[in-house]
Amino acid sequence: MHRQNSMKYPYRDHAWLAVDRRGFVAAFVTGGEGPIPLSAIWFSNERPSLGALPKRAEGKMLVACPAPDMYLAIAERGMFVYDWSDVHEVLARRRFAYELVSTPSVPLAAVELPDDIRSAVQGTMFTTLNFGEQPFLDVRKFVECVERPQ
Amino acid sequence: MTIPRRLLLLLLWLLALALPAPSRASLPHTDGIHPPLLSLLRTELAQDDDGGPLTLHLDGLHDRAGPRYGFLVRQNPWSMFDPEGLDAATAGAVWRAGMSALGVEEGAGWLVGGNFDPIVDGVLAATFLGTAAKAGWELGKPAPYSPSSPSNFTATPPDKNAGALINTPAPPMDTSLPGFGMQTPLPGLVLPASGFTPIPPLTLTGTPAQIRLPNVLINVPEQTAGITVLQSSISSEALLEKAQAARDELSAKLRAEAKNIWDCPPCVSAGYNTRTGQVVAKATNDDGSCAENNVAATLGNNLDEIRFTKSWRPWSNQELPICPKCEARFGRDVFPEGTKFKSDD
Repeated sequence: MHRQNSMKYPYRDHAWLAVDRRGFVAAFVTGGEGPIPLSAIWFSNERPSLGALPKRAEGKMLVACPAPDMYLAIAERGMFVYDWSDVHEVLARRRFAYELVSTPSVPLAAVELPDDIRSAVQGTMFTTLNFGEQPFLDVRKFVECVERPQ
Repeated sequence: MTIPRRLLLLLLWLLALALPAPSRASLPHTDGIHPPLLSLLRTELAQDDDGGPLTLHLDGLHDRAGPRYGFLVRQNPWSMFDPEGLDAATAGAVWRAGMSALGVEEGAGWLVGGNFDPIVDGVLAATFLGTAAKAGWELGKPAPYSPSSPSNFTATPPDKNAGALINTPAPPMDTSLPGFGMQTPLPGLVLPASGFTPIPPLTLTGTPAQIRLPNVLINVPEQTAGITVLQSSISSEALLEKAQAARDELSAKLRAEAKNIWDCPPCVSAGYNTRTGQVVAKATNDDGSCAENNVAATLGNNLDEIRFTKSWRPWSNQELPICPKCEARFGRDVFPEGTKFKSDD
């Protein structure tokens, strides 16, 4: 699962969505560097209006951030939020994993999403994970990803 | 009947246009008139420049040795100009902004000792801008250009001429505006001579241009005329501050745009040109080209003249360490003190 796919990496700081074994949704923010499952490239191509989803929860930040509103806005939609926080780190301290940065008070189930987004989200399922339980998540261990060229 | 002084001066000016050429050289330039001492900062002495104070005359810049006609014109990227479109009001605004930028108080003009007449004002400005336009014209080659279709000029890619310099050591002779460069019998009233290249009135739009004379930079604040800011009058600290503000503004804009789609460029950076004072902020391209590369390209890619701000992530509003590629290309010294680098321990 660690091989680098030839698909073009989208150099955008954007969120892609996935589902855990409970059916809950998490958003993964790439920072323009984080690996993206092949099945989730849809989000960088389509750029759906995820911010238009209704608020349903309170968001809680787990890490210090000078401007957490973007992360909280996602958590308020009921999604766990993972960030490719390696972008802020020097090379020697990289973790090569998405970091859990915010959690929702009321998680969103994928079945509650609009049809077009739900079908895209369900293409990326982590059937052995419960989002929110891992502070760091190397998604490359679970799905084939597109990675930023070095 | 009393003739208004401004009208009288204008009539005298117009009369002077019709006089023959040879006697102009012997005319005093300052009798009874005290031209403003320009607060221009010299960069380095060149040729026979004596380094003395520079004064602005109707026939160009003078130092103690007399008129100085040779000058360099550096064109920052222009998007377009319309050589048939400048009106006196626009020119007047340009001129006033220019005088202000040069530290010459508006209204203290040496021509009439009072506020500039809009017409005279316009003529001066048109002449002043004509120099810039001529440079743009030259640098625009081989871009297609037609006076009747000024939009053709937009075909000039800005990055093709951003750093270009042209030297016009001798006054161009293709004066096309009747009257300019002719002589006047009136002491102290010297018409714009061929040192400035008169061309038909014009409108400047788009990115700034800059006029550089020997050892001297004359600029007008950007946004006012298409002529950019004097670099030497702005400290590096001020330029860095301005660049940081530009970076933060761009970051905030991208962040606002990302709120609905959760998608934005991963990095923004800004920089400034230490010589021209130009400031620009750019984001990462969708092809992965670093923001710093985009900043450098916009500033002319002369790496000796370019300084950067810290890099910034719009999404989290946090600093991003400089990537190894940018560190390798630009070095560490071009970034502010305290900048984080990916290669740090």
